[in-house]
Amino acid sequence: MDSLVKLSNITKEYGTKIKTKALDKINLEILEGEFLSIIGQSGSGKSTLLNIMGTLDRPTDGELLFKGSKISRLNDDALANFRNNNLGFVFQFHHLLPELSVLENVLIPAWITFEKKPTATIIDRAKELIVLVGVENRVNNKPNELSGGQRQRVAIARSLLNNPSLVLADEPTGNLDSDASDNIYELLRTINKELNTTFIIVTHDMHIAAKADRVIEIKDGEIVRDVSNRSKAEEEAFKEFSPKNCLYCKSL
Amino acid sequence: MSLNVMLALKFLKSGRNQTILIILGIAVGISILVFIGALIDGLQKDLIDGTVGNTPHIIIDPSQEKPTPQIQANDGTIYNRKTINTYRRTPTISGWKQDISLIEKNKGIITISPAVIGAGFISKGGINKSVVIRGLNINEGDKIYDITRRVIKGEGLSGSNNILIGSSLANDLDISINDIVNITTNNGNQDLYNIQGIFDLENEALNNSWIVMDIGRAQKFFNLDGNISTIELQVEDIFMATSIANNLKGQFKGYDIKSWQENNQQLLTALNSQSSSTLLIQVFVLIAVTLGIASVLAISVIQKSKQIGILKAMGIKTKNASSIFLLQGFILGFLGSLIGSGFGSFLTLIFVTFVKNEKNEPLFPIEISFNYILTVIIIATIATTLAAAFPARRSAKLDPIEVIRNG
Repeated sequence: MDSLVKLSNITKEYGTKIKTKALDKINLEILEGEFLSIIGQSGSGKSTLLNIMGTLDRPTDGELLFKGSKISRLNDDALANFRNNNLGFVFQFHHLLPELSVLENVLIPAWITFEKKPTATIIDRAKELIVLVGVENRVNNKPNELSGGQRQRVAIARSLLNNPSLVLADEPTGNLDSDASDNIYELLRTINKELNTTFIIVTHDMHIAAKADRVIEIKDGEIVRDVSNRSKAEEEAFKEFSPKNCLYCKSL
Repeated sequence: MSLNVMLALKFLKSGRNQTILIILGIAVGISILVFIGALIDGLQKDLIDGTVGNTPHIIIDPSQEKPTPQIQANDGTIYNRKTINTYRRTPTISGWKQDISLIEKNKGIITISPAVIGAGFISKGGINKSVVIRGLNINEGDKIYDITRRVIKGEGLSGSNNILIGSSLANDLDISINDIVNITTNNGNQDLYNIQGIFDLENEALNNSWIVMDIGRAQKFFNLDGNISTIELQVEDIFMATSIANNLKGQFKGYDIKSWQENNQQLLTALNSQSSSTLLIQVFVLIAVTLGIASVLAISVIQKSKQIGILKAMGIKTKNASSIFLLQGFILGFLGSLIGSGFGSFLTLIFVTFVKNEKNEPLFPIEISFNYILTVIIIATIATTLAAAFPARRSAKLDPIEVIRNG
């Protein structure tokens, strides 16, 4: 598999007088088609890492490469363009626009790309994605007429519209009950297999984390574990992160 | 439709009550602009019309002769020429017929009325009153003074020894129609005249002193030898009077040519200061409207910060995100000023219809000028769009991470 994202010596500091290191010389390579989860305590730096990979935040130092090209030096508009073409985002709070219908929400990425009303082809694709995430009977509803799980499904469909190579999900199941969480996970997994979209999921949910191909644990801005689950059975993987072994879990 | 236009409309639609309130706010402001504008415009036109409507706009007089210099003898004694000279005639215009045909060639002049003006006194029953005798060609003169229409007793002028006199003068001397009066000019000529009509020019000074007779008759009465004393003009656009007068000054030497503006500096100053204070009111109303929009949109940016944050994460360019708010400002301003113009015109119409004087006529004519309304709409729309620039800047600075992190 080819390298999709590569971080070399990524450091992120906050504050001017008193400096807080959120990330300390992170080196990480993510391959195309991987399904990766990032775990860690609150404040460990996992969300910062995701934001830097998503170009929403700029590293203080270090280099971010996407498909081999340096992108951490691009200007704001070029980065916006880059995000629009290559990345999909799913957040804990679905962040759907309450003023727009489900279909309109899903169409936003293409609307941003072309700066005009999307073509029939794109609308068809949006409808296919809505079918894929299973909210086809809600196409013309507003987000506040949907359940939490349905909203997150719409957000997933939206993240996929522009055929991104990478979808970044920050606690996508954080607001959902366990049944809905499992459903969302299954959906992400299906998309990962069918469309070969790379997923990076920041999560608290050990069940979800254990199902990923690869789990990265962050503590105090450093990667403390990088475990591949691909070869392991799911239960074995979960055991790996069971309270006895899991550094993060111990602190729970 | 581009995304920013679509979102601007959706945002306005979602905050419907807020949108309606601010549009109403703008509309009220703009209706005041339109109403005050129309009112002051009408008032000023009425004032100017009252001042110059029935008077000449340009007066062409022969140049006044300078007083002759005094002579100082060697021993220091001062001799006044008057003691040496005999009677000096007041200057007159002799070639006026040629002058009029030359004046006619100038553009923008609608009435040319030659006139004889002289002083004298009228006697009846042992009472003398000083009067101004105006010899007019009644056809031309009426276009300026509109005397025939304003005759309240008797009838219009028909030449020979008939005269018209002012109503106050008639009252004072107890004169009625077809009375015969004795008039003496200041150079001593005396004649009897028949009162054909009494006029009311709605001006006490004129009603108290004017006597109107045929110009030919006046020329003979003042021994003018076919000369006249002044040419009076009316122009099409009264504000062009000074420039037309200046043109005439270039064409005619030896005349004293004055426009109404030169004779009414005080009125013009008053009108100008009225216009300035109106402008000041309008500017402040516009500022209030603009601040209103700016504050509403500033709140809107905060309300919509989640949406803007997620759009930025999805790659909307900063300028497009900002333009959502500029567009909202534009739409609010345009709709508000459109409705406000309608409202203001309606208010003006109500004023014209219901506020009447004792004769049941509108106080003064008010015209709603399409150009003025168009200007108001354009300026208000530009101002409100600019007002949206501050919230738009705010949205440009919005950091998507902040929004995403805090839900």
